[in-house]
Amino acid sequence: MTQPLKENNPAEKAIAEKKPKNNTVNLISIWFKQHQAACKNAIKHLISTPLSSLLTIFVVAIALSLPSALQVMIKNLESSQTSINEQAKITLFLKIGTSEADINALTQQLSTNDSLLEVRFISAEQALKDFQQSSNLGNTLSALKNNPLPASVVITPDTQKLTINDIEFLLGDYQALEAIDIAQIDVGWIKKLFSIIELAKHFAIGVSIFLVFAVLIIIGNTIRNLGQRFQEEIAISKLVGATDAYVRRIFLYSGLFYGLLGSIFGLTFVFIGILWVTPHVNTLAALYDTNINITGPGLNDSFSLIVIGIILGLGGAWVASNRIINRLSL
Amino acid sequence: MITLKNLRKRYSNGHDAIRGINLTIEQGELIFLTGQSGAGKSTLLKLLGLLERPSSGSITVNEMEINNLNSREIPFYRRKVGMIFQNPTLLNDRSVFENLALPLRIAGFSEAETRSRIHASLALVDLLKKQAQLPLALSGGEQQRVGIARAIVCRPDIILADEPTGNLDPELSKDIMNLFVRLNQVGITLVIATHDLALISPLNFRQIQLHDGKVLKTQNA
Repeated sequence: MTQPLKENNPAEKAIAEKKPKNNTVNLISIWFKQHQAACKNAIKHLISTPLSSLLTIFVVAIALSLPSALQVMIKNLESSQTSINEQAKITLFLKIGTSEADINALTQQLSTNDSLLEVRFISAEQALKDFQQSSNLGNTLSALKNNPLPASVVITPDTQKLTINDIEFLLGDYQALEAIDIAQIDVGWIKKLFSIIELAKHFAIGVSIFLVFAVLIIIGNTIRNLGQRFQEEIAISKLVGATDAYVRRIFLYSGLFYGLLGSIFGLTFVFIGILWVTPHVNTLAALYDTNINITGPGLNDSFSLIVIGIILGLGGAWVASNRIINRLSL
Repeated sequence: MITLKNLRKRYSNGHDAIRGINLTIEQGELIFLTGQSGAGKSTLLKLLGLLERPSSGSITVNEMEINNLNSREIPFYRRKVGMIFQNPTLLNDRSVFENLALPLRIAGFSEAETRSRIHASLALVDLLKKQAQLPLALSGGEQQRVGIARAIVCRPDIILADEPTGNLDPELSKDIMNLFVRLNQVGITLVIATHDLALISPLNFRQIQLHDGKVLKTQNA
């Protein structure tokens, strides 16, 4: 039965008024305001539970800093490859009695090779002189009637163009030359080092994949706990017309903040780790007569880590919030 | 107008809560659903509020077949429907004002419009002075009035109330019923489930008695 309208009460009149229609500009403004409110609520929640928020952020930071630190380590070792490769100089010991013409022909032939940075001839006399200076055996060596040292050619390969394998191949070629007695290079330890780097790369990938899942689980679990806290509000919100997107928003912003802050803290841990480890690496590098400059993650790497942190935060929050919403089935 | 055609609801445990209800509720009408516990009153209201989906049959509200709405469309339908329960389901850590602001913020009203609507709704339920209080500081009747104010704050086309006076004493129950009558007088359609026949018999509105998921009797106003 329809009752007549009574409009003499202002409150009743106000209730009877129709809702104004939304235009596109209004809808965008509404959308923006709702995001702003969800963002504020997420920040409010982070601040209102400082201990649990910090714990989550720290765990995310540690999980992100480990693969990042490994990545930094590998990059530093790779960038120091040039410095290490300089140790891969080839020494061609010439047969005793090789004529000057043959030596000139050989050095000229080697100089035409673009993949060699330097071709330096060391005469037998020069070699003896150098040896006398470096070995403290000056008097003993002076007593020798003949110079026992051969002339040699020291070659510096261009490591931008040649790999260790190329250099080894080149060594075989030189060994076959008529004027060469022994072609020599010590690349064993370099090869071992590069094998270790390759292994570390694979290890870093494995650790990264494992820790990506760990971050997803950590953030997902935190969001699930947050969902339990907001369960009543979510149920009421859905009853009064909240969309899934509306409900999900606060969780996504929370996930975003966990990921963002976790990655920033993670980066900080990496930089602190580099400062701590640099003196020890320098000592080790000095033992191998090389120089390794430890550099932290660059701008691109730092930005990438932050983006990865945010994506993982959003991903974990998305999965957890969907489970919360589906469980309510309203 | 609400039209139910051969509406059925079977729960996953095999219980048939609604067994083929055909019913038409005119726009601006107030009807009472009566019947004993388990008659199907609450289930019918849940179906109208799309808190449950019908197993078969159709529900048409203002020429829109709501049982065909997808999950993305349901929230927008619910914004046009105010729901009131036996327990007012308020957020106890928020003030009365904040409880009423929730549906308005969800629907995207401006802060000025939100304030104005909350003011009007609270004025109607005579709780304007209590807007800053927390729900737990209010009496049961006042909490139920806050629930009603929240249900009307978005100016819905329909209000569904499930035993809204179930926890209240007779005097407060009368006040609440009078409030529903006043809301009906401003053109809102109300479907109220109650088993308190003594409370509604003096009121001159249609009563639909349910029994075992079916309409047993209709008593016109």
